[in-house]
Amino acid sequence: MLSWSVLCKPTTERIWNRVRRDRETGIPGRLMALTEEPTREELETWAIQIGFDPVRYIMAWVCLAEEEWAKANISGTQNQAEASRKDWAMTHFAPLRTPIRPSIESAGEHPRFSLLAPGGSGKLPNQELRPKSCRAALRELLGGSQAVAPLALSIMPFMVTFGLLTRAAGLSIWIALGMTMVIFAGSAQLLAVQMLLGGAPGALIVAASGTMNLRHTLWSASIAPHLRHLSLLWRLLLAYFLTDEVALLSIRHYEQSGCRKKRHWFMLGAGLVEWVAAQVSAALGSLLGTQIPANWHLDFTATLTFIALLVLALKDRTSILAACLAGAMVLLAGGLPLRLGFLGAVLFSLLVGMALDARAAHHQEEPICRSGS
Amino acid sequence: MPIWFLIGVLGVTTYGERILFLLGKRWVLPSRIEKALRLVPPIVLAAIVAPALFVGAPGVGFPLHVAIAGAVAAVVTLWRKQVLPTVMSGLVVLWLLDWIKL
Repeated sequence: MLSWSVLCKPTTERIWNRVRRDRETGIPGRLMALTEEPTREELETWAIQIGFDPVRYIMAWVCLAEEEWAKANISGTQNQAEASRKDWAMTHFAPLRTPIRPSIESAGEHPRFSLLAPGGSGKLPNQELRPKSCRAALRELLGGSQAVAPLALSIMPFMVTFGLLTRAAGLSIWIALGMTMVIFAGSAQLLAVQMLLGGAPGALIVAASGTMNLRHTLWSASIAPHLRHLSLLWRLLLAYFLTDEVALLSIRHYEQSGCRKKRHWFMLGAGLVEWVAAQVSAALGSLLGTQIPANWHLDFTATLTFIALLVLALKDRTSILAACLAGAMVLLAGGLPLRLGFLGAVLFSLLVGMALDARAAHHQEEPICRSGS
Repeated sequence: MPIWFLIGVLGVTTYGERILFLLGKRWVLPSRIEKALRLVPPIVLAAIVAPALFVGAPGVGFPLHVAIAGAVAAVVTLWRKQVLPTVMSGLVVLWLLDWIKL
C-alpha cells in the first residue's frame, strides 16, 4: 500500500507552486492591487475553479503571505501597504496567524484546518466540492463522447475494411480484435495487414508502421502542455487513446476558454467511444468477410474524415501555406521507402511553418518600433 | 515471426511513440517550437490526404474520380462545418462517378 505521504506530496507541491505563481501574477478575474490581498471567499472560489482543495490552497497562500510580511519587517520597510496586509490577515485568517512551515506534507490533516471551515467541522469544503467536480468530470466525459461520435461513425467503415483484409489474409477474428486492442491505430493496422498479404517480412512491417505512426509523437508533443499537470497514471492511460481524431478534438477543446481542470475527461470519453467503435467495426468486417464488394470504397471514408478535419483545422494563412507545402512535398517524395517521404514532408513543413512564424513576428514588431521613435 | 509477437511489437512501438512527450513532466519544449506545434494538425492531415486523393493504385494512373469526390467533400466541409455531411457527400459522389464509369 502506498503511504499517505507518497500520495499527498505531489499534490502539496503542486499547490505551493501554483500559489507562488498566483501571488506573483494575481488571480485572473480580480485585479489584485499590491496593497490588497483577496478575501477568503475569493480565494476559495478561485481554488475551486482551478481544481485545488480550497483549504489547502488558502493555507499555502497565507503561509507565503506571512513569509513575505516577515521579510518586509526585517528590512524595516513596514509602510502603509504592509499594515493593510496585516489587517487583511487579522480579519480573515486570525487562526492562522502563526507561520506554518511549507514542508508540512499532509496539510489536510493539520489541526488548524478545522478553524478555517465555517462551523468548525474542517470537512465542509471537501464534502461540498466532491459532487460538483464529479459532475464536471462527467459533463466533460459525455461532451467528449458526443464530439467524437460523428468521427467514430466515419472511421467505422474504414475499420470494417481492415476486418475484411484480415479475413483475406487468413487471420481469425481474434487476431483482428487483438490487433485493434493492442495497436489501436487504424492506418498502421491496415498497412500491416496489407504488407502481411503481400508477404513482407516482419521487421519491414514494424519499420513501415513505426515511421507511419511517428506522427503520433507530434500529437503527443502538441497535447503535452495541456496534460502536464496530470498524474502519471492519467498520462499513461490517455497516451493509449491518442489517435489522430482524439488528439485533434482534445487539442481543439483545450484551446477553448473556460476552466480546463477536468478536460482530460473529455479526451477519455472521446477515446473510449472511438475504441468501442473500432472494435465493433473490426469484428464486423472480419465476420462479414467477402460479403462486402470492393467497389463500395468503404476505406475512402477515412480519407473523407481527414479531409473534413483538415479543412476545419485551416485557420490562418500560415497553416494553409504549411498544409499545401506538406501535401505537395509528400506527393513529390512518394517514391521513398518505408513512408519516409511522409515523415520528411511533415518535418520540413513544420520547419518552414516555424520560419513563417518568426517572419510574421518580425513584421509585427516593426510598426511598434516606428511609432516609438 | 509469429503473428502475436508481431502484434505485440507493433503495439509497443505505437504506444512508445504516443507516450514519448507525455512521460516527462518537466520536459518543456522551447516556446518557438511549442508555438509551431499548432501547425501539426493541418500539416499531418494534408500529408495523409494528398496521396490518398492524387495517387492511384499501382499500375493505375491519376484517380480522377477520387480527386473529384475529395474536392466535393472539401467544399461541403466549408459549407456545413461538420464531418458527417462531408463523408456522406464524398462517398455518394464517388459512387455516382463509378456508376457513370468516369
